[in-house]
Amino acid sequence: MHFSNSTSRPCGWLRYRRLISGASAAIIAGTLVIVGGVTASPSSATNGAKPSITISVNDAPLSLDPAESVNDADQQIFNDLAYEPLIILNSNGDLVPGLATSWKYANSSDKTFDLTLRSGVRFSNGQHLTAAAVVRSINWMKKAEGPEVVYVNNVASAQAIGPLTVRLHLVQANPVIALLLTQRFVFGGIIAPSGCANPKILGTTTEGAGPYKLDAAATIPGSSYVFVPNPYYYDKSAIHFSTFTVDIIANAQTALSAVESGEVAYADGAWATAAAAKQHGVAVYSTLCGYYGVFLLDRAGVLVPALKSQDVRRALNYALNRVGITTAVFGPYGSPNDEVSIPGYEDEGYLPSLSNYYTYNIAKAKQLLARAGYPHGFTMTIAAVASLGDGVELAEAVASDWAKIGVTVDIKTYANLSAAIGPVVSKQIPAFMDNYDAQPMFIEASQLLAKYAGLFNIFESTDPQLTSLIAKGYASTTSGSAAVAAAWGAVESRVVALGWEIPIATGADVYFASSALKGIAVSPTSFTPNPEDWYY
Amino acid sequence: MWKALLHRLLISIPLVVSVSMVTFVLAALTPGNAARTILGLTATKAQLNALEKSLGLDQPLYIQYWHWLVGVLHGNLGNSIFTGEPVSRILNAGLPITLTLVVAAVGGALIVGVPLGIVSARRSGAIHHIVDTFSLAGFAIPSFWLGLLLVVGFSMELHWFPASGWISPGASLGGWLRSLVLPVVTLSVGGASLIAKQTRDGMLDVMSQEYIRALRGRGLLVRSIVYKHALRNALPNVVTLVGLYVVGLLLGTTLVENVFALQGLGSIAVQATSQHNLPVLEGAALYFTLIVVVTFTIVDLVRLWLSPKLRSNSGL
Repeated sequence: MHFSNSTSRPCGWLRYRRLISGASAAIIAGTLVIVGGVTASPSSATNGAKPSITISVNDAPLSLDPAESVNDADQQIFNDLAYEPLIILNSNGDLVPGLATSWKYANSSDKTFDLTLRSGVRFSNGQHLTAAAVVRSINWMKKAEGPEVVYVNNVASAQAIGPLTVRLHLVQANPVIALLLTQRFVFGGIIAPSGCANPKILGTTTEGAGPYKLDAAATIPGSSYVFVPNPYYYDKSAIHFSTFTVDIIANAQTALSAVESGEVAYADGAWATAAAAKQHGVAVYSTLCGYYGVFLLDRAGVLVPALKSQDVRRALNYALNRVGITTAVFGPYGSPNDEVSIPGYEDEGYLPSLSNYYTYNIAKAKQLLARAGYPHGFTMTIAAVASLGDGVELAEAVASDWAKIGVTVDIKTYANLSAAIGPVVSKQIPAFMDNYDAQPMFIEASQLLAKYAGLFNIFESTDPQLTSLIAKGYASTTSGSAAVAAAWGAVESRVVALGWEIPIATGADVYFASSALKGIAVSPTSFTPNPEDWYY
Repeated sequence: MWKALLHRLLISIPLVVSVSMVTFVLAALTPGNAARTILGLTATKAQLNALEKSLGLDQPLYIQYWHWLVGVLHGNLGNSIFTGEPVSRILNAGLPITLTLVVAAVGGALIVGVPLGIVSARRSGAIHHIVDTFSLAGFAIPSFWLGLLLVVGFSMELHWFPASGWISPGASLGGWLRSLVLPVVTLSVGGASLIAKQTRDGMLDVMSQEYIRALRGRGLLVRSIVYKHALRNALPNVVTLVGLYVVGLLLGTTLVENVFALQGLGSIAVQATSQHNLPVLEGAALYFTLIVVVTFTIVDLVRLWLSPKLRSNSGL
């Protein structure tokens, strides 16, 4: 009997001929199929006269219903495509006609606001835009009590006073109601009557008067949303694409890769990868849009008695090396800031004279701590949310600076905002790291500073002088822009002097795009690109 | 074989119930809820309470679970809290993606791992060490890191494969295959190394048995001994390992789906968890449990088919 030695030399390979041949054939066939699947970049594919476009955003909307949406950059893309607002905030920060062609306060009290609607407009389902439809949409927004209902609740009631004339009765004199009716604050996007009548459908389809509408059949919720032109849109020349696809790419590096490889024409950017993006020929757009900092909650000193002292809060401000932190974390996409407003809002409270109010001064910080009775510092907790960009990194930088004055920071990290909200609202957290998109002080005062501001003032801190100044700010509404700027500037001054918050920097939103995509523009007052403006 | 199948199915029922119950309790214990997610940061307590009541979130946990369980027994997994979309539709959209990744990764791991294991078992010296090194490296490399590396190399630099996204086979077969390559390679590297090692160890164990020496003594071809006798007896343990690998893949696909922006079951489950979308989360847990049950049922059946000894032990 003979058997082959298992360690036989090259002639043994001949026995694998059939296996090798079969494997080679399979590999060649597979390669042909794969190569045959190569198509042109989806961003440049054409379908008739207009190209199609694919973009990406980080987060899928919780719901396509505008009443349930939040006014963040990602959600706004979806609303911009399908829901035309009454007034459009253009990239320069100017208010231009949308579904409304004109608007004005009905009287000198600024508590009644009239809008004249564009005639001949139809929603994507064919229904006509009327004053009654607008009233119905606003009423649905109020009833739905979504995340942005605080803005909607500036309107006490809406009334159709003519076929195309809407009257809004405001809760109080409101100088920014026109801004609130833009795409930035959600409730200006009007929903068709059929959507308001059956709001359950709004979670998975669109019923707006925007340039596009959702193609539900082609859409994979949570993954890829396909929009097609609204056949009834009033300005066909503004529709630049045959299909507009929004893919969800949560991973920042993957999103950048997708832009660099041409799979998508636009993606949310990040400070850390912007330089690499530029090197690979990606266009980078950015604008300062909000401030990042430590939001002090326990100003009453319930959890951390030291925070009750104004000297302590000022000491914490002086002990921050804002220039160093901004350079390290934000790079060129941030600037040091010690105010709760940002450049671009000079008419609404930002005071250039207050920049560098708290220059970095360890000695002064220690002096203030000692005067307050804390010469050896104290311990406090800061909550940071890992999913909020560089929140944890910023918290660590703050902890490092404050350690130099004896303040020990215990950083409590939460995976996401949902996990952090519970401890915050149950008053277990004295401070948290966050960012706040800049808004007119008229709005900020109620969201950040008022006694019943909610999340940002959960311990209901008050300061009599600040309360009085805020009231004067509201009262200045009808006194002209100079008076408004002065009144809210006084509020800003008091907030800074109190050390009410601990801002660190004004940060920028960053967006990546293919260099072939035009029309992208942003500014501090209009910091989310509007896809309606884009074209090849 | 039918007895084994029935046995497997019967013990799956308490498994499915207990997994769904544990998922429910863990989700409920997580800070926050869907009402807070919907209403956002500025909601008042009154608004939260009202929405919690309308969503049924104010009811005791066991009542909420019971309602869900009754629905499932009637074939209704409920609706997404946020979009109102049926949970089954949401999950069925992601299921093909996850299953495709898992099946393709297992296939790739077997195609690479088994032959490597055989070669390593039959050869000593350098090849043996190479396979060992590959096994260790493949197991140690984090999948998400490997995925990103593959994207940088093959997508951004060479433009051979897409960096992200899923193209359905109906839309473009070639596009579908291209979109699979990088994620499947990412997932299968670790499995291939495990399977190679297990195959090698199994083969070495079997090849040292008396009956193999007897077969050699009778003059059977080495190839016949290796593939018809030794491999067949070494495979049952490999099959068991594949079953465990599939379970691990269900977790691994979550990371890979994030890297490659694929909306599979893992991504859906992660989103549902962060949003406190309990119906979707429960549905995803149910789907995952059923996949595990089916996997181990198949593993058992294949093992029985491969090994007459196992068949006789099971009374067949």
